[in-house]
Amino acid sequence: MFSEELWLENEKKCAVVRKPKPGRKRQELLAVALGVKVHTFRGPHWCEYCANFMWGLIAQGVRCSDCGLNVHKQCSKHVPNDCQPDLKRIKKVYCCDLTTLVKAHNTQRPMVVDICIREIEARGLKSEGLYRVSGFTEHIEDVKMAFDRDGEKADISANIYPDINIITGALKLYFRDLPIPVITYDTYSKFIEAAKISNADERLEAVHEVLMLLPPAHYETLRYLMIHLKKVTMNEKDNFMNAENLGIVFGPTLMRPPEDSTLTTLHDMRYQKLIVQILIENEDVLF
Amino acid sequence: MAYAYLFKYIIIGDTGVGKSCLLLQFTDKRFQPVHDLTIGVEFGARMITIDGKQIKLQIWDTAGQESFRSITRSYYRGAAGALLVYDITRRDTFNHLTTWLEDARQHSNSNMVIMLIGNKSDLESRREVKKEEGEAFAREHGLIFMETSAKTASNVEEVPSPLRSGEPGLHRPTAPQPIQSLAQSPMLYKIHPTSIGYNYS
Repeated sequence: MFSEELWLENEKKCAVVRKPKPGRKRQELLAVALGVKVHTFRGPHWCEYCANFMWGLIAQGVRCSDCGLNVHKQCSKHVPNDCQPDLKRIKKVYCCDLTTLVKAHNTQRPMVVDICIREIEARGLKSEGLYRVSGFTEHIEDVKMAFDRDGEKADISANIYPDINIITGALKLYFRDLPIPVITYDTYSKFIEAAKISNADERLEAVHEVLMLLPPAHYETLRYLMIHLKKVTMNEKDNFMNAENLGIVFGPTLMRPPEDSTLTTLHDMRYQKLIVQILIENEDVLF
Repeated sequence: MAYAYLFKYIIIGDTGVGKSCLLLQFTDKRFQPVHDLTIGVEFGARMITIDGKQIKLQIWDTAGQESFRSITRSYYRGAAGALLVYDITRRDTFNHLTTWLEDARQHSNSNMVIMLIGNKSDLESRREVKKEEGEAFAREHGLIFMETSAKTASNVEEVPSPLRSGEPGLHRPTAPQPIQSLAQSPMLYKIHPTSIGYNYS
């Protein structure tokens, strides 16, 4: 029943005067990822890259919020993007760049992913509508706060959150809150193009190739999640969640178009679903 | 089929409350006990007759998943009515109503009629939300309320009833109005402005 024309027609008819939100520039996205912010230094400071004085009274340079490096704005372009994040400076777990978090904790994957998946596999695999049914939003926010506050020590056991849908909700929220999605903005369009290939074998090959372009921490997170989701589908008899249903849930959770426009989102939705479905079904071959 | 007016209705609510099932029952008069999820939005349509005029109800069935909310804003545009659905067997879906209502009020025309629907009324034994609670919530927020069952089709036919008449006992004066005055409202698309009042065969 899906009809794109209907949508377009609606857009035209209700010509609401609202400027489309401009897509975020690459530079800006990069800044988000690196965590570099313009900073006002108190007292004289010298650039830690070129060693020259940082002139001015306000906004003399930028500071990396991950490792605390202070440099000129111009110099920041030359600083290699491989800082070792300082755990003291990373206050949050949610909304923190995936690679940064993984480096800071010195783990393979974000610990939220590991902890939530462990909990879900322990007590939720047979729960009807797993990942589909939403838990109570306020409790999901509580879990998020617990992770931000207590890190690995966050208690998400059944004593505190008996409803497993709160844990699945918290995991989905973690992925949605990432500044750069698990399937990165850079690889997004390549994945969509791969999904459009009609021949199943060629499509799988193309998906495999794009997977290799993902940053290591993103790849590892995706691999681990897909192994888990495969287990979920093996319990379809009880939880009614097959790869297609999970694809609908996780498509827009794991990938977002770099240009944030409603029409692109709508247009790509089927392909997003298909990508995740392929990843789950062929998890053993692809990773 | 020719029609004099087109109304856009949208169905909103948490995942798994039966939005797509309600739509299927309303448009096709059948029930499918499957677990398929909605991707983004799907559409359905049905003709109804009010005061001898043919009205086409175009119904947008939205996805309840949080990840699809980024396009929610566009759903509400131009909608004459919204069906806000919860599941009487799941308390959480009732608790989330306030969020949905805020969302709807924020993104829609202020004249939009909102109907609160407690679905799955056939599952009386698993009920978690009392009918009185639904009624109280509706009264408090000025909504029309009914309990339905997409499975047994109970009350589903009554869904467009507020279009037929100004519902008595409604606490929001701007909500459903007789069809004549709705015709002047901006949210309605006039399809054949000159031919209103004629009988279509």
